[in-house]
Amino acid sequence: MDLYFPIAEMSINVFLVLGLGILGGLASGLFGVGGGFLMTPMLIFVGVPPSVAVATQANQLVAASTSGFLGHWRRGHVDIKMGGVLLAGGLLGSWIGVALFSWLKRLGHIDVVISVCYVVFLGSLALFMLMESARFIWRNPQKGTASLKTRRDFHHHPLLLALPFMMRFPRSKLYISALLPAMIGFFVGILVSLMGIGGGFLMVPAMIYVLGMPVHMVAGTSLFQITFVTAMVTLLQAFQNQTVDMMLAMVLILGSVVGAQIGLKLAAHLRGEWLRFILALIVLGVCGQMLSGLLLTPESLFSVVSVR
Amino acid sequence: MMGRVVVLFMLWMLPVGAAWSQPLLADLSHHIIAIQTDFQGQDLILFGTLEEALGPDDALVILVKGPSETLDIRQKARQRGLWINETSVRFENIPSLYHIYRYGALASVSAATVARQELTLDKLKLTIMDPENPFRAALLENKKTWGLYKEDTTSIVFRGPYLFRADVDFPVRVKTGQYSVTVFLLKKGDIVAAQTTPLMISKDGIGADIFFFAHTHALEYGVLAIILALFAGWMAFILMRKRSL
Repeated sequence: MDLYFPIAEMSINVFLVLGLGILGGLASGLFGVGGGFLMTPMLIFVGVPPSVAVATQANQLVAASTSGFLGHWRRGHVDIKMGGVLLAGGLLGSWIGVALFSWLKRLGHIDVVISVCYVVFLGSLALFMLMESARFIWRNPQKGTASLKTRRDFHHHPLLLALPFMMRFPRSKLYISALLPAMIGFFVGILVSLMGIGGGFLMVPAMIYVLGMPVHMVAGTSLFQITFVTAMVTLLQAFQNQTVDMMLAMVLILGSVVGAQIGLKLAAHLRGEWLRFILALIVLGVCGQMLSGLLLTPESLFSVVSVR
Repeated sequence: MMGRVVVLFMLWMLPVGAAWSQPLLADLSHHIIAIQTDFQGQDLILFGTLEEALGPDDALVILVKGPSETLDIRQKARQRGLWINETSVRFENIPSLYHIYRYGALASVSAATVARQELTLDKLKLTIMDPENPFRAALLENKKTWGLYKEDTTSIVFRGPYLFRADVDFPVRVKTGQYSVTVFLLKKGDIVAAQTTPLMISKDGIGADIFFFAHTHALEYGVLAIILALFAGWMAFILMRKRSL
C-alpha cells in the first residue's frame, strides 16, 4: 500500500516506512540510542531527498528521546544542570549546523559531507566500541576495565582544570569548567543537524570519558539535551527549508514505538557487552556502506538536483 | 444597425459552422488530476476524430508538457580518492514532463518544423542543445527513468479511419501545476491542424493541507510537528511504563 508523502513529494510503501521505524525503534530499545544513524541513511536510500530525510528524522527523534528521557527522569537519572549546559552549546551548534547544511546543499557537497561525517565520527567510535566489547567478551575482562579506568581519568587532566567558568554539578558529583560540556554540546549539535541523528551515540562516550560523569546519569542527561536540540532542529528546518514531513515522521514514530517495545524485551535477555558489540557491528555496516559510496566508482557520474 | 446585427449573428454562427469542417477534434477524459495520499500516477484517455483518414505520409502527434522547472545536473569526479560533485550545469525553465505520442512517420516533416514544435526529444529545447553533451544526455536519461520524458509510438490507436484514442499517462513523480496537451495533425510534412487542451494537476485532501500549511505557516507548522512528537513520545512512555509494571 503506497502512501503519498506531501513534503517528500513522493509515494512510498507505508509498510516499508513502518518497517524502518520498527528497525530504528528496535535499535533504541536494545541499545538506548535514538536509531537516527540507521533511519536517516535508509530514508535517503529509499529515495527521500536528503534534506527531507534529515529534517524529518529530527522530528521523529523528538518523540523517541522524549519517551526515553521520561523513563530515566522517573528513576532520577537526569542531571538537569549538566543537561542545561550541554543544551546551551547544542542549541548554538544546531543553529550553525542548519546554516552549514543549507550552504553545503547550495554548493552540491552535502551528500559527500554527510557520508564523510558518518565514516569519520560514527565509524571511528564504532571501531573503538567493537574492540572494547570484543575484549570484554573474549579476552581478560580485568584488562578491559583497567583501560577504561585510565581513559576515565582524562577529565582530571591539569589543562582542563585550568579552564575558566568552573562549575559545580552536584547530581553528577563533578566540579569542572562549564566550557567542556558546552563545547561537547556545540560540536554534537552541528553533527546532529548535518547527519540527522540524535547524537547520543557520540555524546554518551564524550560524557563518560571527557566529563567523567557517573555512567547511570549519562543516558538520561543526554536524552534531556537531545529532546531539546532535535526540537530546535525541527523548528529551524520547518521554518527555513520547509523540509519536515509531518506525515512521514508520524508513520516512523508509530513504527519506532512498536520497535522500542520489542527492543526493550530483547535487551533484558542480552548482556551489555554483547549489545555494544552488535551495535558497533551495525554502525560499522552503515559506515561501510557510506564509505563504499565515497570510494567506488558510481554507477552514474551524474545526479539531478531540483532548484527551487 | 441592421448590418451590425447580421455581422454579430454571423460571428455567433462561425464557430458552429467551423466545427463541421474541423480537420481535427480531440479532448481529454479529465481536465483535473488530484494528487491524494494514495496517488500512484494516473492514466487519462485522449480521444478525438479526424475529418479525413490519414494517408501514408501523414502523422498524428500528441505533446504533453508539464510546468517548467530548473534543475542542476552535477557530475562527480574523483578527488584525492573520493567521488565528489565537481562540475554543475543549470538547466533553466525546462518542462518537468514531456511526453511525445506519435502515430505515423515523421519522415516527410522538415527538420525545421520538428525543431520548432519540438516533435522529438532530440529537438526538445533545453539550455544545452548539443546532443553529444553529457549533461543533456544525463538529464534526458534521468527524466526517462522516472517516466517524465518519453517518446511513444504505440499508445495512439485508431478505431476505424477517423476515430482515435490514446492512453496518456502521468507517472507518480509528476509536479503539480498547469499542463498542456497538444494534438498536431501533419499532412505531407505540414501541420494542418493543432489543438491544445489544458490540464491541471494539484494536490488534494490532507496531503495538500499539510503542504499548504508547511509553506504558508512555516513557524506554526514546526511548532505543531514538535508538539505532536512530544505527545507521541509521552504516549510511548506511558505504554512502556504499563508494560514494566
